[in-house]
Amino acid sequence: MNQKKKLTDLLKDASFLRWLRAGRPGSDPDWNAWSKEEPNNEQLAEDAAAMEQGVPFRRQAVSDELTQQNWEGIQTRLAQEDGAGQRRQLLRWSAAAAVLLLLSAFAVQWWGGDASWTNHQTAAGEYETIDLPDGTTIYLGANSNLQYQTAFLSKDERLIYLEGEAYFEVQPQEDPMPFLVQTPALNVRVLGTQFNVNAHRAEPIVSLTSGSLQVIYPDGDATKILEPGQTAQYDVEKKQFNISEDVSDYWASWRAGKWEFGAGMPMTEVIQRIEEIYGLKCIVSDPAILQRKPAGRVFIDDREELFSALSSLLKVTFTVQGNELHIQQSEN
Amino acid sequence: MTPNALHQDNSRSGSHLKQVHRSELSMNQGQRSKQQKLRLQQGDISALEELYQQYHPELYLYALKLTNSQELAKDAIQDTFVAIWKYRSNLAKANSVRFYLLQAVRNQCLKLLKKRKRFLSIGQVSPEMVIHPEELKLKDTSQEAKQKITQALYSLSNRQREIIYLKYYENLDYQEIATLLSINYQSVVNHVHRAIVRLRDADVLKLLER
Repeated sequence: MNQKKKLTDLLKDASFLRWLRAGRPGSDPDWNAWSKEEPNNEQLAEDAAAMEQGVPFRRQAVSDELTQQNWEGIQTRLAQEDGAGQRRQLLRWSAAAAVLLLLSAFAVQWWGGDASWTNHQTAAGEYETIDLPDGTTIYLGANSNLQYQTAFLSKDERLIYLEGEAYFEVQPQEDPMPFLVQTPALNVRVLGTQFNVNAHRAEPIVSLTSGSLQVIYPDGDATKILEPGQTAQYDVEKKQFNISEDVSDYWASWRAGKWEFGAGMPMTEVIQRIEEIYGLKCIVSDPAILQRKPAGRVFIDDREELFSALSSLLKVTFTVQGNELHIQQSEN
Repeated sequence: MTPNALHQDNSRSGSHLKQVHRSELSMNQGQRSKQQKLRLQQGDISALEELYQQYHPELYLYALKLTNSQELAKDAIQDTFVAIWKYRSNLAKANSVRFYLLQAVRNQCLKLLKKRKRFLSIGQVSPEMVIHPEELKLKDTSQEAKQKITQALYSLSNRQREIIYLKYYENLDYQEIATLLSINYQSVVNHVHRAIVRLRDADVLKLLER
């Protein structure tokens, strides 16, 4: 029981749930020990207990008259529609398609190759939390791929390969072993620290929350040491790093299920992010939309919710057609 | 909608609700449910009426929750049962009749909401979910407490409120919610986790009966 556990796994574990319900601690020595292993475990148990207990709703009642009325309505309708109903087959097929779609939405993990790499892949719109054997936590963003060597701790370097976007909480080591994140365009070398890498773009963005790290741009032979709160993007033409001081909250916020726009985020950035995360091509009907700067925060846990929030924030409508997202001015 | 009329606490039936929901698992009930499905498939309308009488209250309340309109909720319920009758062989194959019915009601509600003009764009398909403090069992019934609960519930996202409702009012499990909303399991757990932590951080959980 000495491995790091995820909430999703804990909530499926019958012995864990029994332990929670029996009012931990006391009922199960194994889980008692687990909760003491690290401070985070106690917090997890507490959160899980709160989730199990939940929110108490009052039961509500419906009057018999209403039940009777609705039944009469149904009987009238059935009498009218008697005889129809040859479309069952179609419905069956669409149900099968829905199941397929659902299955493909889950991330796959496999073990392959002789060097044995572990591979994590996320689909459009979803993210995944990955706990590495050394205690590092990685939040893998949507439409992204991350690989690490399975025999992680036996290497003299912790090497991660990333395509897409990820937020890292790197566990500091007593005997510091370099932690290296490689992306198609740039590398990041760190000791214990928290940072985000967006490598969806040709000019990737690295944003540092705490600690310190070195950004290495191999093609330009450039390196830059970042300070907490700084965000770097490499400008390939000018061969230099552009540093911003006020967007690290934005780059750290997606893993908490939201985007923190702060005082105002350029619309072009928001559009690019939607394209990266959902694999959609955005078509903007009116250039005036690109001048808007959404402020505050939106929740991003699912697409409908995000679009709904953005459409009221920006007074625009979103329409998906195939893999195109059309963004238009709202009518009123 | 007049929420208060619906907020009478029906605790007598409430205490048994969870058992009723899971009743399909027990032998006798399971047998009955199987027979009911069979009769329905054979075109026995009395089986539909039994099903209706058994599930109407909770399905109507769910429709009301999704549409915030007695008129739409009524339409959604009628559409649902007409469709169930039409496609009765599908219900016969469902593992859980209750879950199948909830799913059907939700689809009908979304269809009706979409028909109304302001739900045209895809960003607005998600139903507006409102939870009043009066719907919860309160330990502290003071105005201040209710105010605080309202604010905290309002600070949750619409999706979070919907999932909280499905998890703790409808007693669906994480996988059922994931299937119902067509999102993945991890997202459902994340939503519940974040919502509960948020309510706890806002000091609201301690105002509720637990």
